[in-house]
Amino acid sequence: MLIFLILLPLLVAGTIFILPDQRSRKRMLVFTALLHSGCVFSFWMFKPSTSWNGFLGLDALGLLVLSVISVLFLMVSFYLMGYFKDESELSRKVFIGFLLCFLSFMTLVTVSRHFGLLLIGIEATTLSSVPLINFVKTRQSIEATWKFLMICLIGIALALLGTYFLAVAGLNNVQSLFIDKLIIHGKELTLPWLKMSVIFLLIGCGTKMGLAPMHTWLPDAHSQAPSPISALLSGCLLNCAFLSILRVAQVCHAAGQTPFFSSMLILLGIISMGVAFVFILGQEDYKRMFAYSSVEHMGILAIGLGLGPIGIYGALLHMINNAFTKGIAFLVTGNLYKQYHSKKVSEVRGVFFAYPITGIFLLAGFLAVSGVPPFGTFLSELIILYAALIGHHYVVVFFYCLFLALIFIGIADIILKMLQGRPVHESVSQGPKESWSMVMPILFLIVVVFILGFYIPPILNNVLQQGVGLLAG
Amino acid sequence: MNVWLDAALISVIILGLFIVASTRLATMIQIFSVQSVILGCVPLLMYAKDLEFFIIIISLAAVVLRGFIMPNFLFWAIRHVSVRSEASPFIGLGTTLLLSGVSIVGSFLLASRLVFPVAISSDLVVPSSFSLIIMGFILIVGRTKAISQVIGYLLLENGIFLFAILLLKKMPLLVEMGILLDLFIATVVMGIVVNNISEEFNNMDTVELSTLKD
Repeated sequence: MLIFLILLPLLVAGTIFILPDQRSRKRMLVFTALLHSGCVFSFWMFKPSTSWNGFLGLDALGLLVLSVISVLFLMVSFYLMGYFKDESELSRKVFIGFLLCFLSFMTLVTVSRHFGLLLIGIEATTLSSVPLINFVKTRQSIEATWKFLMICLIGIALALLGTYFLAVAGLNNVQSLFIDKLIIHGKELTLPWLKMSVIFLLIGCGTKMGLAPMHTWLPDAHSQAPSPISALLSGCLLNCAFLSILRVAQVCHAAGQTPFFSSMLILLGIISMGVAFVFILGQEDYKRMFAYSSVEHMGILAIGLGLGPIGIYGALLHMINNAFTKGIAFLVTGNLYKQYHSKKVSEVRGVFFAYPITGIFLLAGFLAVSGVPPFGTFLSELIILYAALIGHHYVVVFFYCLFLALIFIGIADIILKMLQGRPVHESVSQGPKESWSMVMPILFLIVVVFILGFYIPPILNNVLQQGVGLLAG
Repeated sequence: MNVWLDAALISVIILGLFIVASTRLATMIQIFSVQSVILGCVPLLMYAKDLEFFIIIISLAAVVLRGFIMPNFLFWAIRHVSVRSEASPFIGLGTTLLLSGVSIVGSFLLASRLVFPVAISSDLVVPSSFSLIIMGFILIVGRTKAISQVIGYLLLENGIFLFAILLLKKMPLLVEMGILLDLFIATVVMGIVVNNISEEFNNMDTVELSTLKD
């Protein structure tokens, strides 16, 4: 079943690359996404068995990330139905093909039970997202692609070295890189090599996840990629990297090294929030602003993960909320870019006046991104704050609240200016109205994040608790 | 004491120094090719006493991929652009060599502190792998041409491969092959992007890649 889930998008991608024609590509994309999410939905009822000699398996953490990826991908594929209008046939073929490869490799990351396979999956996601980021082929997008490729490949190389160190740490007893075996023999790992490996893995996967100070590729790639791709990068790819850090946390927990790992996570988290605040303030490009907001939220995830069981619960919940929120934010920027033909904040004025629906979505996206109640992000950020408070981490509490407040002000300043007033150029309001396919996915995501703000379904709560049990049980 | 293995490792480090110290791109690629071939033979030397079939396969794959296919691909990439040498590196050649020397010393110090859990055939493997990794980093940071940075990345990957050889018997074939393949694809993708850069910017200087910033 798991192999099917990985191979399905690859097969469809192969078909798209080979077949000469035609208009059915978008439908094939949506159909694959539907089938994928249907399978993932069934995993919530029936747990799939491990397969392929134990290399593939699905636990609570993998299930959470996989579900987020699947839902967001489905929404983005619906959105793409309306987004593509005037691109050439060839580039569309390449685009949709690599998009499906991207889905397949992200699925591989979530279901791999072996550190080597996990890294191969992460590297494959990097490589398959290169043609997606470099879709428009302007000077800026080539620059963004180069930075993305170079920095992420070096990050993965370091993570690979960390994985080898992990293998060395277990050379006397474990002699394998299967996550389950490492956890069982956690106490017997050689300490100096384990610590080296944890540092390298955290730096390497942190690069991919966009933790400051290794985040420098992120704002460029997010701002230059087409908006639906930015949504996928921010909501899915960063979560894949976060999942690999969760795997490291599992091993650390089993080895009794959680305090060592937590301190590094909290430090990186606070730095990320601080960096995000500095660059959000007075940002001139609204996509870059949301990209820096991703850096901030990855920092929040890292802090939550470092704060013990309650913090981990908050971080897992925040991972879901953040992915869907970023989906909203970046898909709305896609609408805005279609309407205003500019990524500059100064050229986007009077969204409420010219495009009321996009305006309301942008407002909702802004509120959700900055964690305003009743959106789900508020709840999960509150849980993480609570975890910091009862753990007596007052320095963390101080910086966490300070940066959250300042970032809220920074984003509000930018978004509210864009919403109010009248458009700068008269021609803007005669632009295309939003088609249904560019409205419904955003609406769906807003409803989901809204509901998660005051109601967590028991089945989700159950899986979240299982996830916490894996990381701090 | 395995003399041939030590000789191979020392020559790998020296060739690394040659790469770091040269500015002609073609020379760098050629030396990289020689280094990779020697590196590809290291598994054979290290496990000479109990040679297994899959080790020979991995050696062959490494020699062919790293020693021949990737250098040829890099040559293909520089043939498409007018740039032949690294004119103005960020870090001068003297400084680079000095840094590399310091990094080799540091690697030996670090490796002497870290006790490897099982007996290994040569004490030089870990420090040489660390020095190659750091030299790769120096090349990535210190050079401005996109191809030089790719060579730096490959040098870094060579260092990691050298470390992986120590674990060859403990890790499944699948993962090793996967990583080799991944590296190959990474080079191809990088080469294509380099070509994109050179078409759009008329050369492949990464200094020009500076419009995106805050």
